[in-house]
Amino acid sequence: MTDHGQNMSEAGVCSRGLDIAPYLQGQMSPNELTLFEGHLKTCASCQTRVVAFRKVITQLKQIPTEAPIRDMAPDIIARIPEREWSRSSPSGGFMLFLRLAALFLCVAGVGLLAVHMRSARQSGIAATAIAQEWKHAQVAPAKNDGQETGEKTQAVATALEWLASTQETDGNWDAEKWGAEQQYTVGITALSLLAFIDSDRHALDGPNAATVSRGLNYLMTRQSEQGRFGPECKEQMYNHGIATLALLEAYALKKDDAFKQAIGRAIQFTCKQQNGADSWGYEQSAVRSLNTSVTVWPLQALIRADSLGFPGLKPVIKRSIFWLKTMTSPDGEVAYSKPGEFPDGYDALTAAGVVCLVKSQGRVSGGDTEKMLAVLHKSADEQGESINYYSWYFLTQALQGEGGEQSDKLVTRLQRTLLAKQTRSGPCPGSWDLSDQWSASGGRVYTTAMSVLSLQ
Amino acid sequence: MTDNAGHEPDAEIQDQYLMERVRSGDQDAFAVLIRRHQQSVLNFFRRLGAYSNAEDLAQETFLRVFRYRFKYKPVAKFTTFLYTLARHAWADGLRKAMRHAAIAERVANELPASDDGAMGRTRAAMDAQMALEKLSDKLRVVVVMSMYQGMKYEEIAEILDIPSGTVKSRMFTALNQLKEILDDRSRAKHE
Repeated sequence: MTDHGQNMSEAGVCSRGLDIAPYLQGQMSPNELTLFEGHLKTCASCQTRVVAFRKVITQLKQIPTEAPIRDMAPDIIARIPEREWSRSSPSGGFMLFLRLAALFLCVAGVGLLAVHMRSARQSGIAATAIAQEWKHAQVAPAKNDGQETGEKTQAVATALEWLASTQETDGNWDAEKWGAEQQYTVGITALSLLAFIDSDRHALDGPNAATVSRGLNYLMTRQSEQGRFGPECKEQMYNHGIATLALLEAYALKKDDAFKQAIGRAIQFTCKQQNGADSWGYEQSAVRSLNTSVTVWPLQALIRADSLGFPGLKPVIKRSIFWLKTMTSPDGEVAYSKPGEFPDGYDALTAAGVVCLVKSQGRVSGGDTEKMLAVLHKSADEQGESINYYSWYFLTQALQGEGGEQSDKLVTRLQRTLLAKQTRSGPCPGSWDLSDQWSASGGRVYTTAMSVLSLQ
Repeated sequence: MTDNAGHEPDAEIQDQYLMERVRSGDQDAFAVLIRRHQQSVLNFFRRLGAYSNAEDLAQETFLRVFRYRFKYKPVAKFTTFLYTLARHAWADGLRKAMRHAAIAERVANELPASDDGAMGRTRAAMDAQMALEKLSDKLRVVVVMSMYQGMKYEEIAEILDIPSGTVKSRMFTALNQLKEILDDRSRAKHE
């Protein structure tokens, strides 16, 4: 028995080893089979591997095929609205609509500069009308009944329609125009983009692609040489953290080199701003100002970047998670900037803490997290009809991450309140009113984007 | 062993006919189509690591079949269409890392704890399932499609939108890793 020297790597692995799986699985043509069997007679490396792989395959085949507990057909068919059965091929009405919409966009595109703002608004509406049709085909029904799923789908579609109609021509959502503080334009734009991206995995190549691409391009034009997204200001880490997260979610959908480079610079800035203090806050050098509310945004971004393969982030994440744990009381309540300090309650901070802990650890269990989840269950159960967008965004994420019947019920209750409070008419149909303590800072784009994200 | 075993040309023609009927609004035809593939799709998700939500994912896959019924072209195999949608349903389920974490934990919690567990799995089957779950998603899906769904590498390549050479190399890597994992488990039991 000898090895074919010309096929062996330095590590002693035969390059023909790649053919072993097709050989054992009957995936070779007769000609390939003859050639490989000839090789196998003289290659000790492949012979050893064939024996080993055959054993693995035999063991894998021990996993039994399980029969469905019940026939799924009736349930599936019941989830399809009756009117859908009578729909004809989209080569008819819908395709014609698409063509007309495309024609309209072309005309709008070459239209007079003087009316470009109005055209852009109309283009947005046309695109989102298509998006709504598309959305009906994309959104995964949840476990609850079809009617509720339909309501959520419709609510998200009209919210995205409103968001698309309020985007400025350079891709931003103007914070001040919609009731927020101007310095948050980058953060508000990023939140809006997250609402689009989180609702539709075709956000970059579907009907909303133009809106989303304009927004992402805007963010990238607002990145400083140091890597910071948005203006240098006291609240810069909100803007920067959320914008980084939006770029990362876009990068998860499309491995675009421009996204990657922008993210790389953003991560460097984030790590530098941590400044050895393990967390982030309003002023980079004053340890006293570090706080959980700011920290959870850059931290979420770093965790997401790590999961997408950006290197060297684990030590930074680990330090921040440790800091979060130092903010957590023995009862599982997460404080603002020092243990026991809850200037605006602990609901949002605890929920945000759970989101970061679970995402970084990749699991729900653990003493700290379980206590925190118990706090969240109580908190979610006590929520009334008054929406706290910031808190509910994190609450729904944390509870969905936990999963389980009780969490699902709590999330559904919060989502029902959100659905009931969506504006149906007036100048901003599809959006949500400014109603909680943070709405004055974030404005209507913020309340709407956070609601969409909470409805996912 | 493969769930698609026996799904040969006749079956393909029947699937195409059923899809044609579904496109024209025939609910009974859709029910037949679901019944023909529900076991295979359900097992696909279970082997990928879903357990308690495998049926949800299977239902979602068939709902997508209905939604995209006009995009299906009879020139392609119906199973290619079906598992492309199943793969997307799975990927969507994984997109939120937290949900993934919750699923993984539920899977770990719900797997039978002993040989005579509720599912009647043997120790070897449990070891194999555990080993599969330790693979990365991109390797696991190739193993599941080729080993259990009985798909050709070309069909897997089409579903995953990767070259068939990549399917081959992923299969090689996966088998190497599975061997290491199973050997480790075997050694641990004998120590």
